Amino acid sequence: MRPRQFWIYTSIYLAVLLMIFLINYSGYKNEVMYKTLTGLHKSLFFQFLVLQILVMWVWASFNSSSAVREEVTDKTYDFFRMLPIPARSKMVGILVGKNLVALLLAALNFILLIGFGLAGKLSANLLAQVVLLLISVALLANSVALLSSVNPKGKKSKSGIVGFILLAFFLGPAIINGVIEFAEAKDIELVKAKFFTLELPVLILISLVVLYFWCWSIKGILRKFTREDEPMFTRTGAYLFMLGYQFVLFGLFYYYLLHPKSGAFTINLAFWLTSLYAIVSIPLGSKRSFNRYLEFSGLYLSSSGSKLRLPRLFLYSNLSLGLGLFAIWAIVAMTTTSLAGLDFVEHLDVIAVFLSFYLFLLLLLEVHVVASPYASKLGVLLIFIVGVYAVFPLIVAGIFDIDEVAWHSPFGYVFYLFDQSQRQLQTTVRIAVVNLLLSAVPAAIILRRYVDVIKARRKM
Amino acid sequence: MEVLETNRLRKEFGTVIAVNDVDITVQQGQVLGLIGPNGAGKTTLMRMLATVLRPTSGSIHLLGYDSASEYLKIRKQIGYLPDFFNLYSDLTLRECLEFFALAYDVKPELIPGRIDEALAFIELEEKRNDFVRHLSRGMVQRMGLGVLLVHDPDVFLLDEPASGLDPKARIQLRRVLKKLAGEGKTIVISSHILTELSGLCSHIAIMNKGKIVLNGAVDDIQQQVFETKRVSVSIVGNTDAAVSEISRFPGAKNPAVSGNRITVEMEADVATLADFNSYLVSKNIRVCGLQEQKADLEDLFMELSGKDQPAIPEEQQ
Repeated sequence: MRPRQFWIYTSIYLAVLLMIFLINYSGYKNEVMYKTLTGLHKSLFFQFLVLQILVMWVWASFNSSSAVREEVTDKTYDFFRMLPIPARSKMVGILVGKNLVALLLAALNFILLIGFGLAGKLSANLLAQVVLLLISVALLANSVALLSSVNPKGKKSKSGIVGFILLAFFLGPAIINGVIEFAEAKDIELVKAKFFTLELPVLILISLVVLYFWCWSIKGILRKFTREDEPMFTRTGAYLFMLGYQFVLFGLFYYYLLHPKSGAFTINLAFWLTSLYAIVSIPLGSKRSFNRYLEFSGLYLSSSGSKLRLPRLFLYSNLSLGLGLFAIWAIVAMTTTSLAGLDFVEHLDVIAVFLSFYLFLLLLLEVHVVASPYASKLGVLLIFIVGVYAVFPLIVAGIFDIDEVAWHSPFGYVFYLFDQSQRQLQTTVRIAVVNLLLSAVPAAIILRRYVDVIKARRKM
Repeated sequence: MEVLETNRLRKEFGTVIAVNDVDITVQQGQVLGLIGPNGAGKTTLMRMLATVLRPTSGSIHLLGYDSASEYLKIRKQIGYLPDFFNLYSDLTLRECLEFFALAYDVKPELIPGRIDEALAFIELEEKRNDFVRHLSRGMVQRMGLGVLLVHDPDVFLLDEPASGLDPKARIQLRRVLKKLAGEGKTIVISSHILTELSGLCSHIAIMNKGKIVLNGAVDDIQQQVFETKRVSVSIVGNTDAAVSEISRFPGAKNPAVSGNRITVEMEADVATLADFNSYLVSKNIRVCGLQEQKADLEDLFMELSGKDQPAIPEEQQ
């Protein structure tokens, strides 16, 4: 960064500070906004909290999200990835380099934030918890943003400052509103939340959960910076992340599953739906490409000397990972059902329907993997199909006023589940059968491509 | 000493085989020109050699390291210039070189000297405090070489270094590359512009449809491809009469006229050339020049591609 750039950003920041001070001071002087000096200081603390959130969570993340993409579009990426330095040095270098100004301003802001907090007679406990939350969320937001940026075929990013202003414009009111709620809540630092049997201050618990996911995102970045063309998760990593995710979620729900205030069925279903997120997102982060299938089949044949068969390729595929993740989810889901005092046998039909929905989506993902080398725009078509699959039944149900059609959408099915009065085995079977029929087409395409790979390798 | 060796190196992009079971070896100090039409697989091969792209199958050993497992060690000791690249435009040339020297772990006390040497080598000393964004395309291309020079790699992998340059910039770059070759560095350089490589390469590998169709020392390949040598005679006077006389000289074949110059195929050892000269004089042909015509890479490539006219697949990245 050039000194001139630094002074431009610093001047903008100082101008914002001056504006905040002038407005607040006049409000205090004329007794319009504040009656006491403590009230002024407390208000300034929350205003600087908003500013800090904008700098650390929004602005810095926005910078991080374009870091590698800019290297690609500026055609410097090949030099960057050829640098013979450890992946962690690349990661720290690019994060600090892209956010140098943001970090400097955030450091200055922290001093003011804590200063006004103490002057506003806020407890040191609250200040420490707020600082921990600010830092942990900033770490996660920036590392996830950087991870999303690691795409060697990245398209040209939009202008950074324009994007930041747009983001701040849309997120700003929500952040301000959140901070106002936060300011009005009394003694929030003393509010406890449960993790299994442990009781922790809620802000600390949130921070710890955030830091857990931050560790995984760092792992993903290091892997991406070490081998750019590999997925974020290894196979083992994907299972470990799944187990960790289920553990964290289980810990958060544990108390409520044992003491369900709003009904055991609802809280259990809430856990199921929240934990489903992992089995949908992990296959995307650990997706093996078709080129990897080719590499694997070549290596398998040359090293083992044995014939490559369909089951072996299936085990290597993304499908086996997806099904393995689903199996973990199902085991945890049945455990929580028992824990909530519900009969898990009665819920097996729901698991079967979830599996049928999941299978169709998983097969579409695999179609993208095996068929996109033949059809470059296939991804657009598949996204469209997923959109239709999720939304079309809802539209049809709305137009013709037939609720049962809506249940064929994954979203519609969730609504169906919450209304227990409508649950029938017949409906469950029908939804699962339709999903299985829909899955037949992608399954046939995938099977054909797997056979092609095996045949091609045998000829080599 | 063997610096680079590939074994059945292959890269497939879905349905396309971009590099098809390539075996090449490069000895220390060799300058290997990778020649081939657009889409032959040169860039894919170069990217695999540079450890940027992972092979579908086969292996690469560079400087004794296996590229699959020891790619960081390889990256430290090679200099790879991609086909399309840019440098950090907000840095001055000196800062840019300093950044790469530090990243490549050059000892701090050596860095100023290395920067001076690199800038002198690429003939951009006077631009040292200019921003990279103010350089012309040709200068950026030379600066790319400077970035490689600053950490003094053992092997240079240069992918189409002169593509997109105007003639003047191309000549300047060629001069720099010749200096590099003169220093005994091992270089693998790809190009589809053959004149760019003429006189620079000690060895060539001709690539087509992902395969190496011919590979070896330039002189050996020339001898192999052109069984008979060509002799060029410049004369004053009637070329038609001269052609008919030349055709009668024992061993002379396929005379071709271009202006006042006649090219003819024959055994071109010194004694034959002397006899040929005496023969022309005896036939009252006024000779003002007589020399063996060395076939350049362009002749070589045309001769080879004439034998096996390729259909070029679209290369994918």
